[in-house]
Amino acid sequence: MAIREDFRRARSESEKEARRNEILDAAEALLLESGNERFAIAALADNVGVSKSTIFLYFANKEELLLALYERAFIRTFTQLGERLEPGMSGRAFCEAFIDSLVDHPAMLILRAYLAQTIERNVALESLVSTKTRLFEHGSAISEKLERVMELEPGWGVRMLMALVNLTSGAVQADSLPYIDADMLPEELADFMHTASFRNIVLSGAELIFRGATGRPFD
Amino acid sequence: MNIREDFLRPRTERENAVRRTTILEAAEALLLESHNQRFSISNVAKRVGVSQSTIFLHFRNREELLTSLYTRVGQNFFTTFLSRLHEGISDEAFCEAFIDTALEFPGFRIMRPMIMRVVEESLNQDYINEAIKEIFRYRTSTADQVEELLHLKPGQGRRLMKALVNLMCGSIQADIKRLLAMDDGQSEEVTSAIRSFDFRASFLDGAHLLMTGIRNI
Repeated sequence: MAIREDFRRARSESEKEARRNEILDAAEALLLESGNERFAIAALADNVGVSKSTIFLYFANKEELLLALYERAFIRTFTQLGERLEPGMSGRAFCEAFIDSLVDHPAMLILRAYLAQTIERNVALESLVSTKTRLFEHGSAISEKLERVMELEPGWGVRMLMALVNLTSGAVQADSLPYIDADMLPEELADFMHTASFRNIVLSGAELIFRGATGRPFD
Repeated sequence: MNIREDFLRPRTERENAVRRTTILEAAEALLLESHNQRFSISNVAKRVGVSQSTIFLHFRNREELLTSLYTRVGQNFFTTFLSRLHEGISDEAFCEAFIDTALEFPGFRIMRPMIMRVVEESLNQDYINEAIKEIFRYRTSTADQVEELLHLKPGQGRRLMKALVNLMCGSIQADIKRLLAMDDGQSEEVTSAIRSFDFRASFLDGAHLLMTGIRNI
């Protein structure tokens, strides 16, 4: 394995930050390829072209690294959603923007499933608290923007977002369409599988959540 | 390892069915104990007290065993849920019955994230198609009965049930702020009690929005 010279000695804070981000980029690519169970620091180090001990200069262990990746994906997802909010947008346009933001940053949903089971039990309490505080602040800021743009009562933006994230996290588990050959199934089952596609499933439930939270029509 | 005499020679279809059920019960117990998906055929065999090859008389491979188990835990969950509903049940009581059944029958939500990988690994196997048909059958029948009991518009029962299942499976992953304080020197029991309480509250909050929404359709 070639060890990259340019990784040897990060000097300034901005160099360190750039390397940390480069490691997270590689980790995200590896996660999407291999899933979190088969995610290994050795493979990550290989992909970045550094030794394992260099990775551990930036992250204390695998779980700290995945928590940092979750935080980055979470913030990017909700930043993107915040940018797409427009006054007067329909419920459907909002829900589509929500789904697009999640689909563009799949690491968030993949890691969310893993967070409560494994990650939270294997990281230092201080980093968990500081990460969650930052996520909470970021989520609150987006919720407030949502309440402003959609003219909702205080508190309803966060309720709606929480319900949508829960719904979407559940739907992603059952995203079966890529695997099933619809031609092999009887017609009524093929229809069933089609309506079971991730986007359709989320939109169908999201419409109910939107109407429940706002009392407005969807379109 | 003791090999169970009574397992050696299945004779009738009925005997075979009983043995299949015994194996599935053992697999379910393993699943609930470890809460993880990596249990192996050899663990199941040890638990039942038979050899691995006996397991393979009843299930062609690990994927078929997992698919059958998923069908079974799903059916148990939905059947129990339905049995707790009655004509005139309030929307709140309906949502509570759903989440309480989910908490009592965790096999369904534990297995759900793993089952798509099993499907992927068993593409075009006939047992996958059989399982999908079976799941489709009890899911739609549950949803249609829900539609009737809650007096929903046509098609809304299936829609509501799908959304509730997704919301439930997503809520269990919810970030739990209070757990942070609990992690500090609390017993596992207290921690898990708090965790399940929050899972329930988080689900019920979203379910309230869903129910309000479906009444507005």
